Amino acid sequence: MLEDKNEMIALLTGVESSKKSYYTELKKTVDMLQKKNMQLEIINEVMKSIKIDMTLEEILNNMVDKLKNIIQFDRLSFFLLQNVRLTLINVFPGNTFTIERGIDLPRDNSLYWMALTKRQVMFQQLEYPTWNFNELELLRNLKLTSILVVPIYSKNKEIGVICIGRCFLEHWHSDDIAFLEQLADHLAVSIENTQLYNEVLRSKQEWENTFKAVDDMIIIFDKHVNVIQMNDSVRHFLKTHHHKDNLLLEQHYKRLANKTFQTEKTSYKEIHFEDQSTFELYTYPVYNSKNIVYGVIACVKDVTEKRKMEVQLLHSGKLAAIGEMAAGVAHELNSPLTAILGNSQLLLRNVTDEDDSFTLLRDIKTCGVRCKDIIKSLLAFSRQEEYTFQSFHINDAVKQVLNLLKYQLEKNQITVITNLHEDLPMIEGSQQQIEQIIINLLLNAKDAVEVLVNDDKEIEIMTSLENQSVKVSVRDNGIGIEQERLSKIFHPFHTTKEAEKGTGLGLSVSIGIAKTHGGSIDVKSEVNKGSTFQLVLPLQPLTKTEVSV
Amino acid sequence: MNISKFVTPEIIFGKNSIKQAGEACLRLGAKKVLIVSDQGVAAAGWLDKVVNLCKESCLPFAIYTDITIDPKDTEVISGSRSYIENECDAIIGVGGGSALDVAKAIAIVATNGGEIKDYEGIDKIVHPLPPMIMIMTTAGSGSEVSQFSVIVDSIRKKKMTIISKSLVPDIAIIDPLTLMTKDSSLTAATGMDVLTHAIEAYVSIAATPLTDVQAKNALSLVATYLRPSVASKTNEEAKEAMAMASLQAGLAFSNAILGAAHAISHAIGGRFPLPHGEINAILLPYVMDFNFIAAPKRFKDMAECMGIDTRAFTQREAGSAAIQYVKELSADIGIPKQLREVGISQEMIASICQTALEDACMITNPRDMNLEQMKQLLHQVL
Repeated sequence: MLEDKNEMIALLTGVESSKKSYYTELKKTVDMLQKKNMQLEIINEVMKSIKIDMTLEEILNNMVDKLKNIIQFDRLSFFLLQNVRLTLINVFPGNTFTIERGIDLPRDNSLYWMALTKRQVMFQQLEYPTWNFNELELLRNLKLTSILVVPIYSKNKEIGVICIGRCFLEHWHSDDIAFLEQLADHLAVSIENTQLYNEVLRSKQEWENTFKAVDDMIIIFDKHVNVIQMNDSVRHFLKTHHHKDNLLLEQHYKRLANKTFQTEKTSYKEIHFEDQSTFELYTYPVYNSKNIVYGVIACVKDVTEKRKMEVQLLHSGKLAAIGEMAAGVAHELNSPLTAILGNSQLLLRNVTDEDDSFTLLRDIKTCGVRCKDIIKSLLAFSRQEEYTFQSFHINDAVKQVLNLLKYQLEKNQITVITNLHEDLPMIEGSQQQIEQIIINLLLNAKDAVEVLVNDDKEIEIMTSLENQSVKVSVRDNGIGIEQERLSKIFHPFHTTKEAEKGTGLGLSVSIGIAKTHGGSIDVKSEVNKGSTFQLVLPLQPLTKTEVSV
Repeated sequence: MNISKFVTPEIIFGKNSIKQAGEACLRLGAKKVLIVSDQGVAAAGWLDKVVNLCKESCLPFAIYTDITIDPKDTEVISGSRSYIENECDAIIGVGGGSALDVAKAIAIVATNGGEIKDYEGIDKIVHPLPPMIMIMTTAGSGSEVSQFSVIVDSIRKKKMTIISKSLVPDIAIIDPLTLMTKDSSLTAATGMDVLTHAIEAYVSIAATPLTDVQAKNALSLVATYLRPSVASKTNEEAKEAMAMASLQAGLAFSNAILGAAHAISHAIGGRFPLPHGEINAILLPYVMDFNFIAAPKRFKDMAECMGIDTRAFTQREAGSAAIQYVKELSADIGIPKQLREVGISQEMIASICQTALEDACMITNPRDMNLEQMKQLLHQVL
């Protein structure tokens, strides 16, 4: 009581109080402002040093380094809200992990969760906590005496929490807490930005990969028809093609892109390059949100193979139709021919050689047999039979054919030179079909040399092994083929022969057969000097198929 | 008390010293002042005088005069609003205790916020107050130099005593000529207030040699000049002496604080609009009588200051003579003898005592006083 009284008197008489001075207040304010300034500087510094493409780990390291300079703490842990789970991301210093990185924090009875959901800084003296929360024991084990749990949240969503702990007993200043809240706000923005950036980056990369993955050439133009972007296919084309081809491509796509800008419609053009390749060029308009064309995309597709296949498909269609017709005709002729042959044979039995009608009847029979053979080969052409692939020796096929044609060739005074390689391996395929090709080639050669009047008519046939392929070459010294006709000779119904001598089917059928065997037929020819046809058959055909065309 | 402090404002004293008002404000760095005064002072022409002085000094100003006797907290609120709305940065108080106390209270609320009752008690002010210049026109309250502001809590019906070093004005201007407009009853009441200040400060347990000098001098001046001052409005010598007495008593009590008479007077004043000096005067002889045994020697000193020859007296006789002197002086200048005469009744005593015991002035009263003793005392005064 007495002490109280003395104290009061001291206050009344002013010993313990003074007139408040603006100077001291100002000094306090200035000090406070200076501290605030420093904190702002640090926030600024932290934010400045955070780049948008930093990882979360880098951002945190950066922040912790700076934070150490203004706030004393012994431990800092950082949790991030991921898929409704509060997950430990990192701890500073690194040797103070209480749970493993990446582990979720249980929601019940958790101080951290409470800070996050209430969006409020939570303070706890660990020695005398106000309640027994989940994380208490773990934190006590770290010998921390007090902790602050600061939520990180933006307007729209919770992001995570920072827990800052101290081992020493010191008061947390309200300035520090306010500062941490501010820092957390800025951190929230940074983390959100980084996450958004990564999302954008990921989808951008997805698009780029898609763009790259397309095998066709894709070129994007701005509205001045400048190339903005092109994919790797374009670069590859420009690198591997002639300057002339490149110029041609550029010429075409620029013209077409311009057209698309003007018409705002998709345009199309086919381009033929020097190397016989064919490309399709499409240009598409790109609209913005206001429905105005602001760019054009050009797509260039190599259709050479597609075209070849289309041609072949066409040929196949034609061949199939012809085959069908041939088969029909053959069947129809078969019956009357059988009657003619049968009757002629019956009549022949009853006449002797001296009989006047014998020669007539014999001619009827001979012609009938010949017709039957023709019908047989028509049926063969129409593939009414099935062929099975088997191993055979190419030389056998050549010999078989030569036997068949020997008479015909010799009759025309043609010298046949055979040059067969003895050690050829067996090949897989249909011997009968391969023989058909060789027959065609020999007959063509025969036709080519037949026209010659004075010179020696010569056909050479040889077999060889080269690059895992067996080759059969048929060379003649005939009239040869003009250069401009060379590319057409494999087309069906292309023929130079008179109507009754050839159908124009031989080479087209041959090349079809060669292809089913995975092979090819090449031709070299010079007018008046002769031609060389070369059948190339791989030892290992790509597919073993039963051919039934 | 081994250690003491003596706080005073800059004091400008003398005839026509009021003319310093504008310049004094400028010296303090004021850009715009709120002039706080009451209707009585305005009627006497002192407000206009100050306004003109501000104009002469090219000092912008605003005026607040809605102040009653025993000023209320509500008046403080509207005053501080006026201060803030007018963007003032200094305060001039012109008048007696009421105007000056309100001026101080406005300064508190305008710069520290909240309500004036938040600052009731000792040393509650947190932020510095704006520059304050107090121009005294009554020679009584001592408010122009004191660290006190007394404001009535209109809800609790109680005079709140706010004590803080920050309430000591920056400049006090005491112009004895301002006292010449007061009528005799006001001169009497405020004069007795000065006497009470001097006596209570002198016997206060917080008194120091510095306050003693002021108190004793004030006591002598009042003893000599109060009667002539009440008697004549134009007695310049008496006015000057009373102005000095008021100043010195103010300095004394501001630093040594007061006693039971003021504590009880605050309690009464909070409930009834009675002249503060008059209540003090009625109470003073009884409080002196009660306090006598706490400081008999000081009572003898006081008797001497009043001009009584005490050489043949014992301390008790000297004390009684001093008390008798106060009673006679009161009677001479027309102060009522008993509280009953101003309307206080028996039933009010208990609650008055309750409030008075809590008053800060009780702390420095030389003799401990409990509720019973105070009730007994008040019964005597009744």
